[in-house]
Amino acid sequence: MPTCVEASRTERAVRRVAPRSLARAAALALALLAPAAAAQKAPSVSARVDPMTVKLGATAALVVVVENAQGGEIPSLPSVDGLRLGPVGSPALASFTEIVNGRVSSQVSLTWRIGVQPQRAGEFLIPPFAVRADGRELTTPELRLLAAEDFRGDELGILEIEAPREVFQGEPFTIEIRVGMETGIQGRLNRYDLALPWLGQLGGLVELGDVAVPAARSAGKILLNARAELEVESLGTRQVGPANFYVLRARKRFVATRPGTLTFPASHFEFGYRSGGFARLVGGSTEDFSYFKRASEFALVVKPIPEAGRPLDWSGAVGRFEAAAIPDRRDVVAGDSIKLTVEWTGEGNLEFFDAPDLARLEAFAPFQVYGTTERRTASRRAVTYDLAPLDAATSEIPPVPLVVFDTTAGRYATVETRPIPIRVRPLAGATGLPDLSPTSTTTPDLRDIRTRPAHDGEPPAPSGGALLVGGAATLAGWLALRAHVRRRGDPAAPLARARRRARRDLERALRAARTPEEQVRAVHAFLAARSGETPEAWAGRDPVQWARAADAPRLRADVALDLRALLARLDAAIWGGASDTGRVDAREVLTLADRVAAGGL
Amino acid sequence: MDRLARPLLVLGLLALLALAGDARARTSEVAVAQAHAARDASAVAAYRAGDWSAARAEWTALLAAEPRAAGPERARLLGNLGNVAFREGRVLESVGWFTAALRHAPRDTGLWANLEHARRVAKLEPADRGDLRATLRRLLGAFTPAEARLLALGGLALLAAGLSFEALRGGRSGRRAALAGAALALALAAPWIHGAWTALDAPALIVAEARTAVRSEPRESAAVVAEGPAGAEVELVDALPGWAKVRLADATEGWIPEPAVFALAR
Repeated sequence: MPTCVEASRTERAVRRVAPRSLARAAALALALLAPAAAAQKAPSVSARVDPMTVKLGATAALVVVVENAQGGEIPSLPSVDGLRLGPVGSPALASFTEIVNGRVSSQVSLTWRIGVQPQRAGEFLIPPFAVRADGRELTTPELRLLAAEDFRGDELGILEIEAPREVFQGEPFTIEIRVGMETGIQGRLNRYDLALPWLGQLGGLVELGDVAVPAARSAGKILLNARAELEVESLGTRQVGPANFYVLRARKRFVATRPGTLTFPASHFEFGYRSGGFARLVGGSTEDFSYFKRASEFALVVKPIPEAGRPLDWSGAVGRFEAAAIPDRRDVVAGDSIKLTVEWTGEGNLEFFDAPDLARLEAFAPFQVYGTTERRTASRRAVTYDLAPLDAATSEIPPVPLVVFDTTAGRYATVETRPIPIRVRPLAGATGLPDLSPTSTTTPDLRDIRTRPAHDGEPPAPSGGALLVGGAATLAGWLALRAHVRRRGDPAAPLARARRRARRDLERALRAARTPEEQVRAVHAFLAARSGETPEAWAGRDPVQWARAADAPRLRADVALDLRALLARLDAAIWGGASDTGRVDAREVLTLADRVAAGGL
Repeated sequence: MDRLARPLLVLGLLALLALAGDARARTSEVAVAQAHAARDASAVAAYRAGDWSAARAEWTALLAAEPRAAGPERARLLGNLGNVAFREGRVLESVGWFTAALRHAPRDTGLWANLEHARRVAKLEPADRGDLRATLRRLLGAFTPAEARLLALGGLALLAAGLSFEALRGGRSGRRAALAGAALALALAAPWIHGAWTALDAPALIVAEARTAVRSEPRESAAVVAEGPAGAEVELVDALPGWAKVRLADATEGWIPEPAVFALAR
């Protein structure tokens, strides 16, 4: 059986790769050689149905070819009663270029292959429809297709679809599909394709999945709608009239999500032989054949869940259910955990309903419910509750109710487990479980009065008016001080900043000085910074005469005399050949510097 | 010598008189403090005994004895009167007492707790809703007026320092110092500015249970021009026997019965 799937894959791969790559290469060559030649010809359209006669169930191809166009589209396909057309895919681009006597001529074409499947036997007319190519609108000719019943396929094959006629909204149901082929030809078959045109196409019908096939009875996979694969189960042979058939079965589960009538169109089962490999590439073999077996369309009525009589605690369960409960133990001490597993089985939406919350059930008040764990499958729903009996008076686990809509009876019903007797022994030396209720025994209230007089008084503070006056005075003082300071120049000017920095620089220079000469340089730099001159101006200058030279004394006389003495001592140390031992004490120099600065310089 | 002796004698006599006056004043202060403590103890005993009216009378008398006193002691007396009103079942009035007490001790957590509890019992919104605006307002209002003015004075000193630096040094650093001083001064003066901006001359609270009709004139038959919800803060504008003229938050003015309004400036 898997052989047919392999062959089909190869075909699809070859069909997909070969024409596209060739077409792309040709288009590239065409673009390089003669783009102008193609553009000069007007586009034209042609269409045909291939083949023009098909068996009912087979798919023909509507081939639309547009010549001399680089791009195009088919906006919409016509609607023909009894004929399924589409979908429209992307066109294949093909090009042909020839050079004759040095002249290049080329041809470009776009080709669509659109599936056409008749739904009944008879002759069909496909009316003209529009094709847009390079901005122009072209029209296809009218086409004919003849669909004939495959009487041979009817004799050699089986296709049976078994579905319920009525279901309730939300009720899961199963559709069973049985296919078969006459045992005499079974050995010659390698292709099985089940065409279910309604699968995934009907609004309000949701597929839940396939019913699992037991491994021992699996017969492999067949094609489903020419694209997917469907695992089938062998049902053995069945005699129908004089012939024996090999029968396969697949089952799918669905749920209808809204009320109404669902109409399932006709389905087909194609079985036959298709050559593979090279023979397929060159157009098939004379040994190829296909038969089609048809299943008529059918309808399914989806009934709404009635509003009347709907209990408030309805869980959403729809179907026919049975419930059973099993505790992991039945003899416990108060407060001990009991794992109660409740299992619901039957035909219904077992995966989807809300399991009962035991903590909200009055019957379970003597129990503390700690939590639940769940397992869901299509045929079974198991919920394990973690319960703890609160005291020794508890003698049974009450029934666990589930409100369901019984689809057989057509009304709401409650499915319950049986009560389970248990023994709860008192906890030795304990008074019971702690109260976990959120109520609190505390009550908010005022804080008590204060009985001790406070001795701290208000801090003394200025009045608001005084603050305003102070603010105004601060601003005025700032302006006055600013004006006064700037009368002697900008305090941020480099000379002013050097003057302020002179004392600090002198101290640093004296610390680094190793000889009297370096000390003299440091003193000269200090004096220059304070007087706003260069250090060279102080070389050989007599401070006493310099202080008197101006209209107003620049330096107090005593300070000038001391400064003269200091400079003389330093000069003597330099010119007298004194070594670094002749240096003047730095503290003495700094003291004098402070006096100089305070003395007016 | 004689010329010096006479003035010295006069000065000595004056000094003795001043000392005697001071001693008398001190004696008087001690006597007042003792009377104050005795009255307070009596009020506490009455409160403990559940005699709310006696406790109210004693603490009200203590408040009236020093009408200009401010600070924690006044806040304590007002807060205790809030407790009395709450125990008497006059919850809205207790909200007024606690609000008044917080004006003297705005950082007192006990008073805040009592105010919020009383507002909750009275089904009023919390005084501090906890949003950004309320938090900012509570931060700015966390100082008494005197504390706010002291802070502003500190800010002024910092501003003066920054401006002096700028005047003496100039340059970029001087400008930065001036700006920093100004920013700090503004930040420190913010509570004072906020208080001066938002403070009402005579704040009051509506303490009637239902929505109070604000009438155009002080008589029951006058037209109702607005309604004052319980717990709303208003400003007292005028008063007549049995009536108080108030200004609502939307600047509407009108008359409401005097018992429906509680003056917060106490």
